[in-house]
Amino acid sequence: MKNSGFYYEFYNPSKTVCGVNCLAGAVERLPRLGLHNAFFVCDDIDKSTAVDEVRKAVNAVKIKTGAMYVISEKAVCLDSLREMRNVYRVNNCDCIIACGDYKVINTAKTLRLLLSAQVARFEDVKGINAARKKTDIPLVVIPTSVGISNVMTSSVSVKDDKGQTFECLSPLAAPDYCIVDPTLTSVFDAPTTIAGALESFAKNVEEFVSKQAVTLTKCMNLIAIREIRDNVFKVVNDPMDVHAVLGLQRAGLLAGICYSNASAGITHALAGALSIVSGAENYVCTGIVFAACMRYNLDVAERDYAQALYYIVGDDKYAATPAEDRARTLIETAERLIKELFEENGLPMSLTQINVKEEDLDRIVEETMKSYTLVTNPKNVKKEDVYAILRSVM
Amino acid sequence: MYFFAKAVVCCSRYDEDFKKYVGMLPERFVFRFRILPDGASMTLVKNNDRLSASTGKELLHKPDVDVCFKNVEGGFAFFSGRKSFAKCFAQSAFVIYGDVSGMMTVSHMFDIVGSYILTKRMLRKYDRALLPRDAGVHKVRFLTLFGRFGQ
Amino acid sequence: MSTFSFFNDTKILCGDHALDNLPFELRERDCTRPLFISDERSYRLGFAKEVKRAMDNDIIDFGATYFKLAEKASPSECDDIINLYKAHDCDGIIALGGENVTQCAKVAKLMLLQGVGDFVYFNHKADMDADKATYSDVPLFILPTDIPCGIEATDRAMIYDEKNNVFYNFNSVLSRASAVILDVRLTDIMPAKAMATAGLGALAMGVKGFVDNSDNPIALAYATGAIHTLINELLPAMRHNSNSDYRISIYSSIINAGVAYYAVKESLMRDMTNELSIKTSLSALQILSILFPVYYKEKVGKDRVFKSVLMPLVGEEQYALSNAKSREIIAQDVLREFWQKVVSLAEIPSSLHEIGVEQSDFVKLADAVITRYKGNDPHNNFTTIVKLLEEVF
Repeated sequence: MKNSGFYYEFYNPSKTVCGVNCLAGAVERLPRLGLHNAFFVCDDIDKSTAVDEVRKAVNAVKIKTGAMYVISEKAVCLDSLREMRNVYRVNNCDCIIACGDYKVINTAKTLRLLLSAQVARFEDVKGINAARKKTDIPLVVIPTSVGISNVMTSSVSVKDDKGQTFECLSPLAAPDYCIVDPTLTSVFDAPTTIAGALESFAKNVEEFVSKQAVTLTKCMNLIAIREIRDNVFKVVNDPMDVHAVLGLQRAGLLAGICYSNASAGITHALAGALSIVSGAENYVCTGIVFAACMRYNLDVAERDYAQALYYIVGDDKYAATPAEDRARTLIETAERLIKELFEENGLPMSLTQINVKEEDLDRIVEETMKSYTLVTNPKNVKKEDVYAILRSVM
Repeated sequence: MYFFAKAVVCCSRYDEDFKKYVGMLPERFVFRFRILPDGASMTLVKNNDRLSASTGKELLHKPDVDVCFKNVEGGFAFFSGRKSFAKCFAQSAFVIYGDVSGMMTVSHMFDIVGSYILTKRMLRKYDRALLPRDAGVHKVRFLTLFGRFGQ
Repeated sequence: MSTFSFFNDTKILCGDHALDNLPFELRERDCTRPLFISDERSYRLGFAKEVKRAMDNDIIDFGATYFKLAEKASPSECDDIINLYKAHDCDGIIALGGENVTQCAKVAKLMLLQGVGDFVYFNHKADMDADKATYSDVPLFILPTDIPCGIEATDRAMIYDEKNNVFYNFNSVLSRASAVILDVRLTDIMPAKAMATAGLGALAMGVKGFVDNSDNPIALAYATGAIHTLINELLPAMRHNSNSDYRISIYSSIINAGVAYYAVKESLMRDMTNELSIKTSLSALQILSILFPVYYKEKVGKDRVFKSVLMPLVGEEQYALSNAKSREIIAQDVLREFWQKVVSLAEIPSSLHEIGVEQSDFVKLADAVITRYKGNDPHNNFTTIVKLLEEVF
């Protein structure tokens, strides 16, 4: 039974089309959204053929390529956003089509947020649900990577002129249309697959135990965790297995929907801070701190962790594990899997290996305490706790 | 809101943890709490490492963090200690304009305020993880009730 | 793993003080003169006053109010709404009440977006498969007061024209609500019987949604959540029907079950339910609560997904301990036991003859269902339908 004072909101404004070779069928419906002149945002065209395929498919339904912008930097910066906005306006574009990985989608979402709210400065839309829609700028996203947990979220992160990263949460950042076709993904090496799967897994587990989680988001998280379990090793062994890639992408989609509605927790905050300070990839930082963060939350999230174990280990092992050990088993299993995958692929396993020193801890803690995802962590996070977690993975 | 503002100002003088959080904010940092669409508001400004409060609606410049409760009930639940900042956030009780990281610092500060002014029973409901403060509780409570406003 | 498509942008606000967020949601959608419609029952019970009170603190005022919607949704009611909306230059609709108000409001919104003022004309012009994500919207807020009917957060709207004996079934994103607001203050204590019927109907929707959406993880999550809540909280909600927390929990699961159930385009079960609903003048949920046992019995041995229903029914612990080969049988047993328990406790109708359907009606009913059915499953033929009807008779 729910506690008295129980209240929740659930909102998922994006349309999703997901399947092997679904691109052509999905874009057929785009002209009905009133799109004529598209502004393409994509990553390095030389690296993949996906952008070409998407452009061909879009042009085939009589949507012109008004302009094209290739993203090269890792994080969205305000300068490039200003430039993109000008290009968009000069070419009279009427929609944005983003085709690429995390950074491309993040940039396109931020651009849409600014254009849709009709504001000149990012400061005017900064915040949580602060932006108001003034005009319709349809945004279509077509991810080309496995780790796509940011696609369906209504959050964006941007680097300001001083180099500081800001997160912003608004339904205007969520795409109108999301097309997931695994045949558009590049052939991946194992670390890239691990990166996507790990981020998606960590997000799903965090959202599952979040203070904001409700039955609906929890069900999505559990389905996503099962998809990751079923498909991650298949993709590692055979990156051409499109159905397995699709499974991982579906898990990412679910993680994204839940992130907008249930937020995340300490792992997300800490990994983000570590990534900013050390410059290491976000998934590497997630891998390093994930188990320690789960251990930190164990006393308040034990029941949820025990439930999630089923979706990782399956029938036999779950039934054989005593009820009181299930939560711990989940943490140990996750830790072991991450260790195996990281060791096999020569990825760093501790803070020292990503060049974090004792004197960097203050800044990491400070950055961590700034993340709003801490608010929904099941346990009230204090500075000392973050120090303790960091020292345990030094 | 009036008493809450006084409690925040008191804590900024007597609590060491609170002072650390205030130290993290830039000078002339302004944060405002208000009830939408045109309800009561509370503004706190950092001046010379201290916080001062006002309930006036007029501001000289845009606040760095503007926490806007969607309705009176949401604001009342928060300021009367029935719901913690985290719970209000989880229930989407407000929208926030401005710097989200600044908002987080403010939320940590408000947890400390809660642990001073709420009774043990209320505190358990507000946030189980918070503990009542050992020292200076009575002083803060006294100043909150009878102290001067705004300084 | 086949292709799936999912789109549901209705915002759900559910729980304590949800109603207080209505003015904020209106402002967010630039809605300053909403048309407030309701039926007499909701007005007399004071729910309309609660809504007005929630709006009192705000700058928004109603463009017009209309509290006399009839108990059955009809084309003329939709016309009345449209006329009022246009006459008072409104820019949104707040629909407070039961199924009748929801249906009327959704059809009226569809008509407004199609730019027609008369239902007769509209029916010929309606684009049933509109797929515009960005259209000039008429914000529609649905505030259920009775037990929800499952269509609140979906693309569906159904109107029965008694005069001409025509059933209009709309399926368009244009009829979708902007938000569904479920607040304890807008609900009243429901008799255990009503709760049981709706709960079982919603469980049927959930199970159907679960089986049919195995390739659609988002709809699957809606179904899973609904089944889990209904199986665990329906009996307590019937026993403690004054407990508003249980009530809201069941209501929100009915809405979620509806999303999963209507995410599938064609369904024989749904067509059969609609036909029986017209025939008996009972709600779809009431019909589903009777058809339910036949439905899950049909699935055993035929549907590879059905065994997975056991998971939300019994939880991970029991599921892991159960024999993998007999899971569908266990799922069937759990559902049957639950159904029998609820039916006997609430003493609700469990067969078609109890709701006034005669065996002589079967041919006509089956004929109507098969005419309506647009799916291409060869098993769904005239004989199957008659056989199903006989089983629940």
